[in-house]
Amino acid sequence: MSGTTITCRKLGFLYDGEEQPVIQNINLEIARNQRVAIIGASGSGKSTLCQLLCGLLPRSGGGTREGEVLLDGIDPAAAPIASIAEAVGVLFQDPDAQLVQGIVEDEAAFGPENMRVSPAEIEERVAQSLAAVGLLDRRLDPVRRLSGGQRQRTAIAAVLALRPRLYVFDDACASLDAAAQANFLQLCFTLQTEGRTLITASGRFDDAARAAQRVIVLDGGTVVLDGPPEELLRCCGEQLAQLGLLPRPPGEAAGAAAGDKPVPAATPPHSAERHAGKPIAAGSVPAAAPHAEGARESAASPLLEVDSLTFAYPGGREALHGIHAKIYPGDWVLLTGENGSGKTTLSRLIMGLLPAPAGSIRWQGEDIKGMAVYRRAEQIGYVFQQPEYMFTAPNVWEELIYSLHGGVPVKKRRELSAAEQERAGFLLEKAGLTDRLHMSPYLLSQGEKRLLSVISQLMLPRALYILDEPTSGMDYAAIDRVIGLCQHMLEEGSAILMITHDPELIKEHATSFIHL
Amino acid sequence: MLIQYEKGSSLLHRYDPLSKLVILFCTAVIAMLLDQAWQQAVFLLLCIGQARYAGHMSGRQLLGGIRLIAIVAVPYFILTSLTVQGETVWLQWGSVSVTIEALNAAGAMTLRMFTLFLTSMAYIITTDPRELVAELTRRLRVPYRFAFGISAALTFIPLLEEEGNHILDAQQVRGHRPPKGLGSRISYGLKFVSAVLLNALRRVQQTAGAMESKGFGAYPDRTYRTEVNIPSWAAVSAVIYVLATVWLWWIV
Amino acid sequence: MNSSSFQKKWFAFTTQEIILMAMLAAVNAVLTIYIGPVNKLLNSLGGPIATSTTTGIYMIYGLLAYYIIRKPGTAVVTFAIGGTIQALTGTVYGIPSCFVAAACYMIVAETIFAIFRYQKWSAGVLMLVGGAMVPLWFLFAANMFGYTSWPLEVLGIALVVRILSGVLLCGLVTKVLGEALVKTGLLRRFAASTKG
Ligand SMILES: Nc1ncnc2c1ncn2[C@@H]1O[C@H](COP(=O)(O)OP(=O)(O)OP(=O)(O)O)[C@@H](O)[C@H]1O
Ligand SMILES: Nc1ncnc2c1ncn2[C@@H]1O[C@H](COP(=O)(O)OP(=O)(O)OP(=O)(O)O)[C@@H](O)[C@H]1O
Ligand SMILES: [Mg+2]
Ligand SMILES: [Mg+2]
Repeated sequence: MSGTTITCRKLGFLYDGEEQPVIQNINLEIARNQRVAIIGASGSGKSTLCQLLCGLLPRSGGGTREGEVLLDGIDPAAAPIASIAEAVGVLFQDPDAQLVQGIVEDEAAFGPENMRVSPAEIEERVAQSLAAVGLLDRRLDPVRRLSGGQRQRTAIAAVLALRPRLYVFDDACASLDAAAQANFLQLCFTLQTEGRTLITASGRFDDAARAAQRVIVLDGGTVVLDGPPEELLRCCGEQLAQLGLLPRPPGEAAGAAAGDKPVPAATPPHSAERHAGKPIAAGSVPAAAPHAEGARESAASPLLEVDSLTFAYPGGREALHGIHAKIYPGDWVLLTGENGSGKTTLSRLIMGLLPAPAGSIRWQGEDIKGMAVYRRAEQIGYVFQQPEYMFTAPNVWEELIYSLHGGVPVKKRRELSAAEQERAGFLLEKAGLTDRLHMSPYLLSQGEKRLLSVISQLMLPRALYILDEPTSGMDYAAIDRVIGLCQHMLEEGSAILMITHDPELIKEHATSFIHL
Repeated sequence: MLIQYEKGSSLLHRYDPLSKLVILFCTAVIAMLLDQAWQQAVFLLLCIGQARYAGHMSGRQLLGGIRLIAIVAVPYFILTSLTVQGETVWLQWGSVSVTIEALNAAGAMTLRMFTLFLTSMAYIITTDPRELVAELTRRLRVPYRFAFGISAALTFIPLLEEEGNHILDAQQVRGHRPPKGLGSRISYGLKFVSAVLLNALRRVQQTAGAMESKGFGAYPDRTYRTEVNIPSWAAVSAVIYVLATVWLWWIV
Repeated sequence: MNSSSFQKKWFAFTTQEIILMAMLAAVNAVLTIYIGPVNKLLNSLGGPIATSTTTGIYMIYGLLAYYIIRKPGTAVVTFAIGGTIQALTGTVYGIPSCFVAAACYMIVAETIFAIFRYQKWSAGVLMLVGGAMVPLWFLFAANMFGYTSWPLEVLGIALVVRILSGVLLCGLVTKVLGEALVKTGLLRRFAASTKG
């Protein structure tokens, strides 16, 4: 097996209906059997580049390409499908957009079936690729019954089974738990020893980038750095941190998070006990332990109490068992756990999107069971794991102010008050979306989508915000934005329940932990 | 109503999808040919027996099916028995009269609906749609890209329902109250339908792109992970059934 | 290849177009499931004649696909997919009726659009097709289910109601819906957008 060589000459790309090209003047030469990491901040054009490499752009996505892309001398936008599928297999960023068969094992079999592989070999490939992502025991499950991370694994398996000469993985680790990420690194290593070319794209100088032979750094659609990882780390650490690809030294982080406006009273009220929070296993001690001292006026009455909560999906397996947790006003709780451990399920139960058993969830001391979702929404803000699920409006601005009017047509709405205008402006600036107001939310890059889904919930003050993986796949600068936003909400007196696979990046701000 | 394939090993399950489809069509033709209510009744009983014993359908399933179709069939029965002209008056009630001929026509029509529906239900429950699609391409030589449209649509149905749920969830999370009153219910329903439709169309481009990147349409044919072996008795019995149908057509 | 000669070729569909047809067929199937209760209500209020009023709704997906894709063969593929889906998800009228109805719709739609050489996409033409798709299937349905024993007036009323439903609920709605969808920009890659 030999890899694919890639050549890009003066590559540029402009999306339909846009004025500014997203990719400009990229010149690359990637040798066969090389392992390359493309990194860049959110919106720098990584996904666009990946889609150009496999020909999806402009072939079926439209837009105008300039310059040349060649895979082993053939142009992926013009070559017959068969030769492209042999040359390159791509994992796209959004797993939902690429799962087309509905059943896990059928997803894995889809590629080989199209490539006329014999049934016996398909079976072997399906088994092997599902084993590689740890999904063998779920092979007969419908994809829509999987957790976010499990879907991403399915998508990875489907690409693996194709066995092309070149793999392109766009942010493959975004929703994976730590063990699966390590597993994925190992997998990349194996693929390379088999002689394949490998490209990974991500928003951080992460382990995949450190393990690569070559790191290409994108900024604003052009290559700004290119070289072996050790060398880049040695020479350009400062620049990488500036781009948000390396974490900033601790002192600077808070200032950066605030953007241009420094946040007044930046030290959160809990700073004294910041590091007091210890991971608490589900079902053991209530998560309120760290509040013993330092907690404010409301120490006595928790906002939300979860009490021996057990939940099973209809006709499915038990997703949660005997969960205890307490959240107090002003808390910042991190909810962690492996893929499929029930984090999203717990958050949906709290929000009322799934029916919780009576008496197991209490809001300000009262059983929440009979409370309609729209009533809960007056107290709790909720951000979905998949930002696309949220979007209800045609452009970014409308999306942001949707909760203010609840879908009333423009003509019948009241004017936004000055305070609302100000809040909207503030949030947009903190999220860095000020110049995107007229764009459709669906056309944003993945990180931008996430930020938008967060700030559109923050528009209205709520007692509790539940954020399901708001930082997944983001660069450090964007994570700082999220942290800054959260800190601001804490200052307003809200509590935050944040689900994350990056606890080490946020833990210094958290007041307590729940581990499922 | 969404009836779905259920895995099993009954005789009907072991038939290949196409032979079974031929038999189903012949059954429909026979049901059309019989125009006496009693003939339809006998035929319906035969079909029910087959679904019960050859298809292992439970009495509950069958009753459920009969209830479903009854809702549609009863109004047909009433309309027909009141409007068809006949000689022999069976019941006279003011100016409304019901004749034996009308009852016969109405009975035949409604029983025929029962037969068509229940046999179709047996077909759906015992036929794996993926196998049907594979057979279409293998034996009828339908190009697989088109046949795949059927599997794609089948995959989309639960997806669309799920997408609908997401839309409802998102709106509720943003504080939408459930609509009250007819007017707001209708406008809410229309908004909902258009949101589902727009999401569906948005998916088209993504899905097609993702499929092509996995080699969809690369070759005129493709392989299938699961192989179906077709029992020869299935095809033979289908042929016999066709001949019997033709013969019946000839004699009536 | 010359693009206009390519367009005239039968069944020269891209993957996107096939998926679009499948998607519309799936939307139709889901709607059918959700409209079910409405239909039941109509049925109990006004029997078969009242249910005839909704006939047009069940044909929209095929006509809309044709309006968007505009290539010969669109109706054949779309209605074939849609008919099979209906057959596989359950329909009160039985599987054979799904296929026969689909075949009738195909023949009529393909013929009329061929007569207009795939050039005319006005509301008038779409309404003509919507209305014309009805009678052929009605002829078959009357024979299959035995409506033929109904008196002529009843048959006539049922037919007229269905044709009207085809003209308005299928033809006109397709045009309105199609134009609205083109405006959203989601159909940039399809003929309805590029040819206006
Ligand atoms: N279909 C589209 N039409 C117009 N603009 C688009 C489209 N898709 C992406 N963009 C824009 O192109 C830019 C680059 O997007 P891209 O998805 O390549 O970023 P990215 O580097 O992958 O970011 P992330 O890390 O957030 O995924 C973004 O500013 C985005 O808003
Ligand atoms: N709709 C559903 N029907 C049945 N089972 C489901 C459904 N959604 C999730 N599950 C199952 O419930 C378990 C918990 O899922 P959940 O989405 O809560 O995981 P998670 O902790 O959020 O994981 P991730 O980190 O991957 O997002 C998983 O095993 C999943 O397969
Ligand atoms: Mg991206
Ligand atoms: Mg989750």
